[in-house]
Amino acid sequence: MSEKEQEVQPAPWVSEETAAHLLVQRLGDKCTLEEERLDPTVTLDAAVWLETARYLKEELNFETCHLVSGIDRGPAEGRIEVLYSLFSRNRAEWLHVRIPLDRPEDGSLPELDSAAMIWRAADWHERETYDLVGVNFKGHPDFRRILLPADWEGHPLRKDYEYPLEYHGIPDVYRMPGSQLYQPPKEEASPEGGEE
Amino acid sequence: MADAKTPRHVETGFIDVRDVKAIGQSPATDAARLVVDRDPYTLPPAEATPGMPSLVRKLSDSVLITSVDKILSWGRARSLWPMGFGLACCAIEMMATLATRFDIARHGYEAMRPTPRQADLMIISGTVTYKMGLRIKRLYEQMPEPRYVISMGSCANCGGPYWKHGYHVVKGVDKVVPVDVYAPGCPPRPETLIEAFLLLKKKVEQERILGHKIGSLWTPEVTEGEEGPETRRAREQTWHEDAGFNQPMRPNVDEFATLANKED
Repeated sequence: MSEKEQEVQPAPWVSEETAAHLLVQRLGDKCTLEEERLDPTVTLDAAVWLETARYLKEELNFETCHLVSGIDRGPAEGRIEVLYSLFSRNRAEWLHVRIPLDRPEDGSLPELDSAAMIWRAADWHERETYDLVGVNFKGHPDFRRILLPADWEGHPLRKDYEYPLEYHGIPDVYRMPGSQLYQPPKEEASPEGGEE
Repeated sequence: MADAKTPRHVETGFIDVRDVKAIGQSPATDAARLVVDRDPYTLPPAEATPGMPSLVRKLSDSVLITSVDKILSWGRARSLWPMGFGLACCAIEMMATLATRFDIARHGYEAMRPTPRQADLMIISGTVTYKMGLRIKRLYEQMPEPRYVISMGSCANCGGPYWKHGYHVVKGVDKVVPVDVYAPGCPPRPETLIEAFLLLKKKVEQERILGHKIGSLWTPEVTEGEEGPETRRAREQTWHEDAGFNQPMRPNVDEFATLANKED
């Protein structure tokens, strides 16, 4: 046990009592502490997310889930991240859990266990993440789009998202070729791109 | 009272019943136009109007002779019932227009109806998303004819700031429903919305309803700028193909800019 503790190198500003530290101790290499963050942030393996969520809720008193974010790193990096922002009034501390997922190249959605039945607040947040970024939350009680229409195609906050030219006969006059207001897309000089 | 030397029907299109000399001079106005007393409570002394028949003089206080068409349009133009719904931040300005400081009730447009079936005016006050666009189309179809649309603000006019990167924004609500008046601004000030109302009032006043009904005794010539139910319906059917026909009125932007830049 003492050897394992020596392997873990927490950020200097995180005291050993913080939940992030406990989590790293408990999960070992499946959980790493991120440095240079304002709040304690850990990167977690998706396979252990559900049991870790229960542990955080029941043992570490993280009773509120404030936010679920989805981050698309683009097809080059091939990674999509889901970030859960948790807060514990009892411990008076934040914990951000970042879960990297593989970004399938065939267009299918990456999968993650839903935490909506652990924190009920995560329900709509996960639906929003599915709606805009495209993450399939398994075990979600009411899994459907929340902001966009039910028949919308694609997930708009993906880096390689292509804007629709029309929706049910309503044209996008600036994008539809042949329209009077058609604006041809500009040639992007920067090699990085996707920064729109 | 207006200047007696100026024939009032020349200015207003109306004939004063006491202005006997005006009657018969212009057959076009005589045929179906009206007799209106702008100030019915003040009659000129009998010496000033020697030719006026006594009966006309007696009745001119209380009798108004006009065409039904004209009085219908007169009434409709001054009592439009907007549908009460807001889409985005423009709705805040619309609420301000309704409230005491700007008080659109002065013009008779304050009766916001919560259902499209009682409304004849739709104010598109804000960003129209594709999701909402379909609902706006349905609401518009539920409104009884004749119905009018004011497009309020840049988002509803042309997509506004979302014209390029808004994957979800309708690039102008005129792609969904035909628009009568566009109010520019982001958001438009209440004065702009009031100006849009007044432009719409002019448009409604020009319409002739009964003259277009089948079997009516008198069918007026539809001059350019006038609009009846048939022409309007035809325009609604082909508005997206024939944008040049009967251009919607636009508020005079330059005039507003001059007013805004003017210093007291």
